[in-house]
Amino acid sequence: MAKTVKNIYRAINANKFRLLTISLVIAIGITSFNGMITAFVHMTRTYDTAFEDHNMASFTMQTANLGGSGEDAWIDYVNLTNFINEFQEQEPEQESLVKAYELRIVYNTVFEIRGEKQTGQIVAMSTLDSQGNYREQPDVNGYKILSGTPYSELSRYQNVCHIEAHLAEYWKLEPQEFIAIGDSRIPFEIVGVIGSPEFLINQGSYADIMPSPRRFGVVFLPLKAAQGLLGVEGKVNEISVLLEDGLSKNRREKIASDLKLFLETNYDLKFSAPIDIDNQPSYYLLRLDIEEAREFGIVLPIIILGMAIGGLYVLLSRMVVAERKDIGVAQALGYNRRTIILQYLGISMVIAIVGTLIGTLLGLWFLSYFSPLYVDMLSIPFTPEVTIEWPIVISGIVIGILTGLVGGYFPVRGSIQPLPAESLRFDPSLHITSGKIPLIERVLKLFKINLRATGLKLPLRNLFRSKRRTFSSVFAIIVSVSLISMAFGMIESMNESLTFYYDVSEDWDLRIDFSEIPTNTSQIARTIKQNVESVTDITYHLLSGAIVTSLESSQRKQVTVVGMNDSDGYLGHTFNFEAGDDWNPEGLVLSVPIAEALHVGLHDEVFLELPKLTKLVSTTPLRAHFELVNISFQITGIIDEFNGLVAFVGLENLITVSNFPGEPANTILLKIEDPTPERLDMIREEILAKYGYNVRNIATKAEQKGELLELMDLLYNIIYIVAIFAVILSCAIVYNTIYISLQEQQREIATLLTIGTNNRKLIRNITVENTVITLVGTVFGLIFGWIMLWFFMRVILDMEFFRIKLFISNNTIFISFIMTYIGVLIAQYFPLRRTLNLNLAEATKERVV
Amino acid sequence: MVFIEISDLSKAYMLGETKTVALNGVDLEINKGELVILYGPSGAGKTTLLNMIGGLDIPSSGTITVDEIPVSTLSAKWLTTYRKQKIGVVFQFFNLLSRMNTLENIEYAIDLIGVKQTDGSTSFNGKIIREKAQEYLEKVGLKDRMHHFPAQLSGGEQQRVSIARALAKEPEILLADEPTGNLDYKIGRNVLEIMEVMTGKAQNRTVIIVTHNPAICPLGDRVVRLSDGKVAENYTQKYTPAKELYW
Repeated sequence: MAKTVKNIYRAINANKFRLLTISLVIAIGITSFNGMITAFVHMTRTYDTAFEDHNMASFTMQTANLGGSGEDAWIDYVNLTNFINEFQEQEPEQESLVKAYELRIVYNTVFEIRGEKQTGQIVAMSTLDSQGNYREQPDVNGYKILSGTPYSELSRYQNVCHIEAHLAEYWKLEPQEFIAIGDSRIPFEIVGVIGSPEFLINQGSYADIMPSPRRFGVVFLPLKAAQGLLGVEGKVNEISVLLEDGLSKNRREKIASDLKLFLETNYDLKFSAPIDIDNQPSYYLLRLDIEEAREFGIVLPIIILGMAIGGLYVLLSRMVVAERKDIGVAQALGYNRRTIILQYLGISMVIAIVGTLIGTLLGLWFLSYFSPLYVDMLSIPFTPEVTIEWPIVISGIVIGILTGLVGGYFPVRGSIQPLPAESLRFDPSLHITSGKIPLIERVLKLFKINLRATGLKLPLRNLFRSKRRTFSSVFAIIVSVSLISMAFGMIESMNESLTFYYDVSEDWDLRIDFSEIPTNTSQIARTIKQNVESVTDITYHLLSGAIVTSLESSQRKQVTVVGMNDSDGYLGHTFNFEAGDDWNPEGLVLSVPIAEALHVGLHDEVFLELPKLTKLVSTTPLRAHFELVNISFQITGIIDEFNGLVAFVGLENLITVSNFPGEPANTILLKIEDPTPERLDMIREEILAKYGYNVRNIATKAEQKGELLELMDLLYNIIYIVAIFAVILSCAIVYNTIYISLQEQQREIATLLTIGTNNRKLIRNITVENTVITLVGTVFGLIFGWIMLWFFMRVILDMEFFRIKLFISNNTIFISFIMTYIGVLIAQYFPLRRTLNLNLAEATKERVV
Repeated sequence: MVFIEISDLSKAYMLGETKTVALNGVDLEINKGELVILYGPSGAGKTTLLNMIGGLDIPSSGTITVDEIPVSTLSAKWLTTYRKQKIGVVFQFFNLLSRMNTLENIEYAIDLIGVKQTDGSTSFNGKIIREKAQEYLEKVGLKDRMHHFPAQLSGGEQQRVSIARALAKEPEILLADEPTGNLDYKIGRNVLEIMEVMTGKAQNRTVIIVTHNPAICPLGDRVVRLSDGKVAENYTQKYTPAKELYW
């Protein structure tokens, strides 16, 4: 045993640098495994705890006409309390399942913060409990005070508010500052900044493809203050219900639907469909995001450890072949096969253990940065508690050791002959020669092309000399090229889709979004065009959220419906049709992800759930009672474009089916002559001065694109790191295979030098060999790169909000090749330098490989 | 006429932590066209001396001059040129390029220096190189094996290819390090006969053969016996044809 350990030590000591490169690859794999998987566990646990501790609602139900006026919009607080209590009494089974409920006001409105307009939502809850006593936290959907104080007993009589963390962070708001809320700009004092599990991600709705605190901020008010502000004394418009723990989604949905039916049947109230906790936008997105991180955390270590196994396999294979005679001698002396296998396996295990230890330690260190970094990236106000997850650490160690076993056992077992004589007879330099002329050379001969002996013949033959080694080099190149091309392909695909969207699809310079829907939009548009200088064209759209349902499959999908003014010619939207070829204002145009999710195609019929006006309250702004109706549309086009969850219908058609009065629209798009930033600013000021009371947002196309690019920035940085990482990893593997290759050829290289071959020719030969390997690897690498790009973007990231057209450009192909090739040249430099300084006298005598 | 002049040549190197003196003040003169046998026991320094003459190694001190070229002071680049143009080497373990067949092994060597034409020019034409390679293979009796790879040849055949490769460059000096060391008597003698024919006096080629086998000594015009890194004996003799050697 001591002898075996000594032999292992000697072998490692003789190859320490090369072995260390593989240890480092394993270390990186284990680090990423530990870091990412543990971060996933931390985040999941943190948010689960945050949701539990703050009593996140199991389901929420809002009035059918949320944000509107009249009986469908508001319900009396006291009455609703009685009704729910009655429901619980009538349905004793449900009573025990409802832990608590909260009646709230949720209302989209505008804020004025430091003189600037901001849109968002107020969320209001009572500061009193059911007994009428003061409480610091609501029973359902609680929050965490990050700075400032809770409401006091007197708060309900005061204009005070809590600001949600994302909004506070964006404006750098602090307690004791004031913001103005609503059209009437009532000042409210900020008493605290809070983190709410309901808004972990600052997401207003699914339709908001670019959640930003600048466009959607949340302000919490005492219920009474909100009622006063909105002029709805004693009213609420939302029920949030907390059920007993551990109920299935089906059970939760059943209770929600029973409650809705009870209230609608017995008290003639109207509610929109209940939203289960799993479908709550912020919660849903967060889970999606964490799940993606987890999948990435599994896939990335698999790729890296796969490379390590490949590297170990090649290294051990060559080592065993080189020492086959020694093995034969050992066998002849009486060592059994098991002992010899153990010795080589010991080397592989030491490499794996060193890598695993480094990886585990790095992983633990990395952990304290990774989870907080991730949380910071999403501006999530709940910091995960960083703890060592021993099951994951142990799993990492097991995976690391398995890497050593798999990478080491098979080549060693396969290379040790059962009989010592076979090993003793063995001449490695002959063993690694196939004795055949490569096919490519035979093909060239058919065309009368004979390669010169001192030309390309030698490097070409060398490629086929040891297929396993060549395969290993090609494998390293494939990994590098595929990771680089995937990384750059991601960036390019996103940029290209963005550019296409903003430069081709959307042909406008300035966009105005209104808070309230005006019904005289064409008149407003005409006025702007006539009165505002430089406006060359103008159009308007009506945007709203809706649900599309497939008639065939009954699948449903939440989309943003754009009622498109089809008379504007070019301004509105240039479609990139995947099916269908023309815009038909009578039909419906769907984006590819929606069509795929619903399993529908061109000319199929779908239902669009739209609000239908039942009772008009006022025309300007449009205030009315609505009911949701399913209108059947025929799909006249399927478009492949950046905005993934979108459906287009003709504006006139939409107005007709929704029974809207006048010409309502909530978005105006302007085309400006010579749209310099100064000119756009000037026009913005002009429009704000005239229509500011109702302008929710006014942004230039460049600003909107910039905002999106800023959102992508972090992703781009991660992708660049992946690319650099890929080159380093492949350099390590290529270094090893080149080293082995040169070591195998040492005697031949020495012979070549002895008979008069100069260094330049030798360097050329080896460079040609590696260039061919890089070229072959690049071809396969690009194929794998494309598969990985597709896999990450379509399967793992599954970003249906953004429809990214995937491609790998010629530039990326070139960059992938050049980056990898530079890596190869660097990797070949050191072993080559060593080889060129060979002691020819010694090397020509050696029989080692 | 002195062709190779060796003066006070020493070579020492570290073997682990032990300093080993391989050559210790060797003085030697070799004439052009001489067949020299460097003879001695293992560790006497004969291979080291051969390597110095061949420009495969550099001395610790002393000088080697070959055809007025100061070999011991040449840079690595010029040593390569020297080896290419002046030296042919036959190795104990043949050292054929395993990826190339018999013919290609010889072509490779010829391709480095080209083929001298009757008009004095040098041709690198592939066909001419191939013809010359075939000519040398024929000389060593292996024309029928020209498409075989080294792995498909016997030890004697490999050594014959090695000789053909070394001589196909038409070097002025042929160095052979234990050319029969890895072969049995019959094959070894056959190899020496081929060397004898191909390096005959008419070629005016200087041949240095390293051997530890005293039975080979009669083959040389001159025998230099080395012992402990020094020249112990240096004498000329009437050479004995290879076919008369027995061991």
